[in-house]
Amino acid sequence: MSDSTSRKLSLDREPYREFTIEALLVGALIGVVMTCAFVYIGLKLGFTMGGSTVAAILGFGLLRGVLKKGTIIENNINQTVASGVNTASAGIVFTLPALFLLSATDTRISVEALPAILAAIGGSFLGVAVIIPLRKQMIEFERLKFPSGVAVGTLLKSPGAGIHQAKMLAIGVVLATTIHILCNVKMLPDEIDIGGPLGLPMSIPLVVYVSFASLGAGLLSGSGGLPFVFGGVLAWWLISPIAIGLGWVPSQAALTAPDWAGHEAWSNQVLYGEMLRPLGIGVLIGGAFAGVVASFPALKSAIKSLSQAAKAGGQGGSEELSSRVLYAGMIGSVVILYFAAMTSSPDITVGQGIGIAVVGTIWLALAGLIVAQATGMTDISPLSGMSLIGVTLMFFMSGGNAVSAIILGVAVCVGIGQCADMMGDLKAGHLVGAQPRKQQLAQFAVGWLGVPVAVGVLFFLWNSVGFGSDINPELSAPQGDALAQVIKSLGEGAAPLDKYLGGAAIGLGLGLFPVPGLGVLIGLAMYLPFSITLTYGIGCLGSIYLTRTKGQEWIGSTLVPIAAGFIIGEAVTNLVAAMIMGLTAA
Amino acid sequence: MKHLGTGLFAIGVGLCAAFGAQLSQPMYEMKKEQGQLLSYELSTLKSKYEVALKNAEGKDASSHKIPADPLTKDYTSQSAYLTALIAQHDEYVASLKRHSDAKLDALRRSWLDARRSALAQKTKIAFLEKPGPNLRLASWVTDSGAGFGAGLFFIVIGALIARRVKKAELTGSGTESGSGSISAVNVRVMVTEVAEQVGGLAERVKENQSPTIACADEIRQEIERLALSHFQPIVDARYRLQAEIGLAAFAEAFGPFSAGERNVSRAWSALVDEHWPEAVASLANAATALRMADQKLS
Repeated sequence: MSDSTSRKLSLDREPYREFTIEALLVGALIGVVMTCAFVYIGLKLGFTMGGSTVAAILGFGLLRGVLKKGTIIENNINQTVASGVNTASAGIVFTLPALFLLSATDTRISVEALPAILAAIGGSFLGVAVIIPLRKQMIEFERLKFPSGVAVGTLLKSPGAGIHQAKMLAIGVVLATTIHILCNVKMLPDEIDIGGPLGLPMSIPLVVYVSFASLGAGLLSGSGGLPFVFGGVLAWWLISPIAIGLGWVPSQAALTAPDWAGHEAWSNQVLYGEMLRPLGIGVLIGGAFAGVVASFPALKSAIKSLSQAAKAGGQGGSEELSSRVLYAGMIGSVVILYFAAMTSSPDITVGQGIGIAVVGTIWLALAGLIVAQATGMTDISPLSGMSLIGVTLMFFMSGGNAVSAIILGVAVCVGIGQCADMMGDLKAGHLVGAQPRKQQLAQFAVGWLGVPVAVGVLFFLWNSVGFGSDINPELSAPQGDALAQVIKSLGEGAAPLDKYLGGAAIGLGLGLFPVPGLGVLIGLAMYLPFSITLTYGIGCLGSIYLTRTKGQEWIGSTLVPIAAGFIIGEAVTNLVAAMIMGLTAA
Repeated sequence: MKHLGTGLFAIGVGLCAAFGAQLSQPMYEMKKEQGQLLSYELSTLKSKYEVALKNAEGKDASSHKIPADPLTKDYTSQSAYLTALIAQHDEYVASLKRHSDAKLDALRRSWLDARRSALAQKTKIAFLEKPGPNLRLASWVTDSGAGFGAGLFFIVIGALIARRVKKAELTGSGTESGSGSISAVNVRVMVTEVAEQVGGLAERVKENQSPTIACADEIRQEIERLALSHFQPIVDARYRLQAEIGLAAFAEAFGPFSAGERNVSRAWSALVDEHWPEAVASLANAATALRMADQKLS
């Protein structure tokens, strides 16, 4: 026996480090820095990224490397805190800029920080509360994959996983980072068009999105992700050519413009923007609702077990948050949303305020479930689509008041983001053996912190350099701009109700088939451009092939760390790019 | 039966999705108008302008400075911008010296007029009124409702057949082959086994009063072995178990099973972190939870 292996372990030690002040402070610090960077990148590029992987790496460095204290579980709390803080950035940067942009052209609109902050904090707490019973359902009963959660779990476990797995993780990270940097500096294309050289029309797209994160998510999902690919095939290789072939999109002959070279691109735009995407949103909603109905007995059992554990104060009670927290969180959020609605505009009546708070809470819970399911199955979040529906609902509930609709939309968007983020962190926590109660308490403790930071950064940028394509093309705020356009079209009464209702009926029907989450997966595939689905599908097929040829053990020891490395590599590269952009702009 | 159910379901999904995606008539008309405006502007006006410019000035369009596209944010600013542009355009036309060649002069005027028309077209495109939600819904139901309804019917019938076949497969009463995972009976046996083995591990670590790194490595490897031999197969067989005992009973048993699994993982993490007391406590908790799961299943 060597000296190292014969070394004795102490039996008299301080309690195992988990929810510590160091984890909280380091996580909060990382979260605040990421929030600032992601608000900036969200205004510039129109998307943000999950912060859990980056936080886990930085947490290891700070807690273990610098403070010489961190345990695996403590680092899980650290990344939960960091991403809990940072999650607000996406919810706010997708929605609130719309209000700034509308205020630039309409003097009747002014942007007040307080209602937005109140609404976002309310949404944030509700997002975490809703997750309490859903954790059992999605992580313990349904065993959803949560590829990013698995990636973080793999990273957290790497100190004890052995040299081979560490090497595989490093290979994945290096490969993804290299390719992503080459794409960012335009030395490699973002997409590879295979269909064009083969002579396929644009209505039958065969384009692969160059993203190792999507590939990694597919590799981790395996056969469970195949319905998502089928959904993409249905939308883009079946409906799309049928719609074009049957003239459901006006043909060149119908337009009497035989020489119009831009017709094909325009047709695809109509097909995606007016037909498939809104239908996909409807399918997502119907599919999620069917999922709630189908899993109702299990959900009921989950809530019952939480209540029993709380009453008994036994083992379950110490690991899970009580169902009382769920009820208190929901009631508290209804109250906060009510006050946010009332302070958002003097035109809102008490009845409207109550309606907004109740409907907003219900929608947030359902949309949180949808986003958590979608990320659990594919790692792709339909956050913007769900927020869009949320803003639409709030617009009608507030009697067409754009300010109230956006302010409450902020709450919904932040809350939905919290649901998906918390669930991914809980999955990572499940893999390393963290106590869900402590993770949820950590998220409750800091869920509010990112909100004033993100709102503050937005106000600072608006008052210093401005944003929006007309004011500062460098910070075009694409999501906020799109939302402002939607608000305007809603004002003109142009919601695609037929697509939403038709889609919801399809989603409900898909929920009857004995494949869990089918509606959500197919809806998500219709909602997304096919290139993303295709890359993910390549990952799924690769995983199925490798499982058959190499066996389950090889998958666990080699493929999982490589795929996790893909996700981590791309996330880290994105964060560094955001930091560089932010520093350059400053 | 399995293929029949899946086939009907697939046909239904295809029909529903296709008819669901079909544009309602008012929306189709609106898009047609938009396409006509776009194609007119892009093909006719642009080529007219390019030919005229080439003829008038001997330059191609790329060398000529074209004013930026008008704003499309809201109708008020759009109109103001457009009015200013047209005034600017009229001033420009007025300031032009008449060309000695009347034909060339006419061509110059024609491209300027074309540009003026193009700006007006762009405004029309930007502010085309979309049909309202109720009108769209009513029209879509009229045009696509039958195909969509037929698709929905196939979805429901196909799904019900598939559910029946799946249930028969999972409970082992069907004639068609199953998914290849372990049976529900074996799940019970495996849960009993894993509860006993984790209980054994918990006893071993508790009794070890002078643990070493080697002991920790050994326990860690046993946990990794259990993950592959028992935890994963039980998780893979969860749908079979659900089908046999029902969702509520499944949830009652799988809750403690998952708590046990999580505590085993916690013990693994504690061993990596060389925290023996936590590993002892976590394995004890895991054993208790797994015994509870075993009881629920039996």
